[in-house]
Amino acid sequence: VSLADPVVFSNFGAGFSYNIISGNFAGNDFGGDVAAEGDTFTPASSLNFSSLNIALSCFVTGLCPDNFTVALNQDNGGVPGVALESFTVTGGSLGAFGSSNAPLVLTSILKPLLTAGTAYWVTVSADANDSVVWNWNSTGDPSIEAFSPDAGTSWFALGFTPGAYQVNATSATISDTPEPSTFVLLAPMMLLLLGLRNFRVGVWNRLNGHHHAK
Amino acid sequence: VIFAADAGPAQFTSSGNITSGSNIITNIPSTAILQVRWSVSGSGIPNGSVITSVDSPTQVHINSNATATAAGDTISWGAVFSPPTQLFDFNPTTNMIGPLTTPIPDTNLRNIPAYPTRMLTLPNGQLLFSDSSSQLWVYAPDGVPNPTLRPVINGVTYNGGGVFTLTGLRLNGQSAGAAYGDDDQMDSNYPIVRMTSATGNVYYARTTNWSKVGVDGGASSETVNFTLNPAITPGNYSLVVSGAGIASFPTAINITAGEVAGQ
Repeated sequence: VSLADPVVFSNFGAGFSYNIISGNFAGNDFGGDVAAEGDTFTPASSLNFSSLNIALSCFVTGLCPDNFTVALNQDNGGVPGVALESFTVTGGSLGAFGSSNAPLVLTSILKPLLTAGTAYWVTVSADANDSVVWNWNSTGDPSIEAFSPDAGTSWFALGFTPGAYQVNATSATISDTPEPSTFVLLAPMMLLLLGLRNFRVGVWNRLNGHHHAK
Repeated sequence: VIFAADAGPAQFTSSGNITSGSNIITNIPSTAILQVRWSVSGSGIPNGSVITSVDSPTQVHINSNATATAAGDTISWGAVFSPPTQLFDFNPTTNMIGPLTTPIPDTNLRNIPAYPTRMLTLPNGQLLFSDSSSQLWVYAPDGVPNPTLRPVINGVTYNGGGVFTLTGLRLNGQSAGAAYGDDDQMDSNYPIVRMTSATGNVYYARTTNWSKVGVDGGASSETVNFTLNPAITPGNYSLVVSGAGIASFPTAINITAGEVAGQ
């Protein structure tokens, strides 16, 4: 994370501190669920997503053998919706739960635009072989937390404590890829400019005796 | 849902003929709803008599011989505290009560009334059932609790001296648990803390100082103190809190050696 990168949302304490001894499960929670967790945030200004810091750990060393998924999701009526960008994380890379592990840093490739005033979700999901823990925040974040007992198929906002994470953005807004309708509006103008340029080049060539190569 | 047992077959009356010294009742207008072990009473029928067999649409056998002869007198069948005992299942989705799909193979039930039986909701969502003999039965309902009704764990803090405080929602569950009429209240509407290790060992913790005893706590924050099970060792645990048989979704918690030692 660059020093210049604006922080869109963070519930970390000072020095990226978080609750080391408690957290929400993703994957096998030893209660018969294949859990997934989601925490929501709402940007105050429109910025492009650049990276995510997230406090994840492995419940017990060796119990996170598979890859799992961290994602940035759209909102779907108060619970996580379609993923805007997903990150595949190697379970074996996680530190053991109960230790002060450095938060994971996941860097965006797609850099989707986060629109001011719109709710988004960060989700963590894992399969039944993994027991990933999303450590709780330690700053009293009152944001809504969503839980899924079936690996993200169904979501419930039950009042869980949110995990610790930080959403970072690029310092400059990157325009979205224009919609086809935008191309339709721009095309006549571009053709006009191209025609004007060719006209000017043709006049210049004729005045200076130049010819286009055939 | 309150699991309860405090009833018997609704009393049913009919006419019938009996002969002194015989254990057969004849000329009953209909035996369609009569069941073996229902109580039978009427003139000439000894106290404590029950049906031993339903022979035909008009005749039954009872377990004792009549002391008088009567024809067309009123005979009472069944009633509260009459055997047998039958177990029913309530489906909250359909709001219907019906006999258990797979009855427990308890042969005592056909011979006993409901009143000696007792139920207790367990923290894992199962139901412990006693027919007052030395044999206990466990009923495991299908399905899972409504997620929005389950307790929630929001925080666990260590206070020192081996005492933790758990903060959360709906810690007492949604009902008192089980009851037998006005005679026995097998309440379990209080927080029960369960910790499961990664190897599957389960430890229950003693809870005290409940901040609330009401059920259906909604979105109001509640607290409960707990002390660790003496058999627990330092490590990571999947922690749930259960109220009246409805358990929270698990939370991961790390228990240190100092906490186990009560420091």
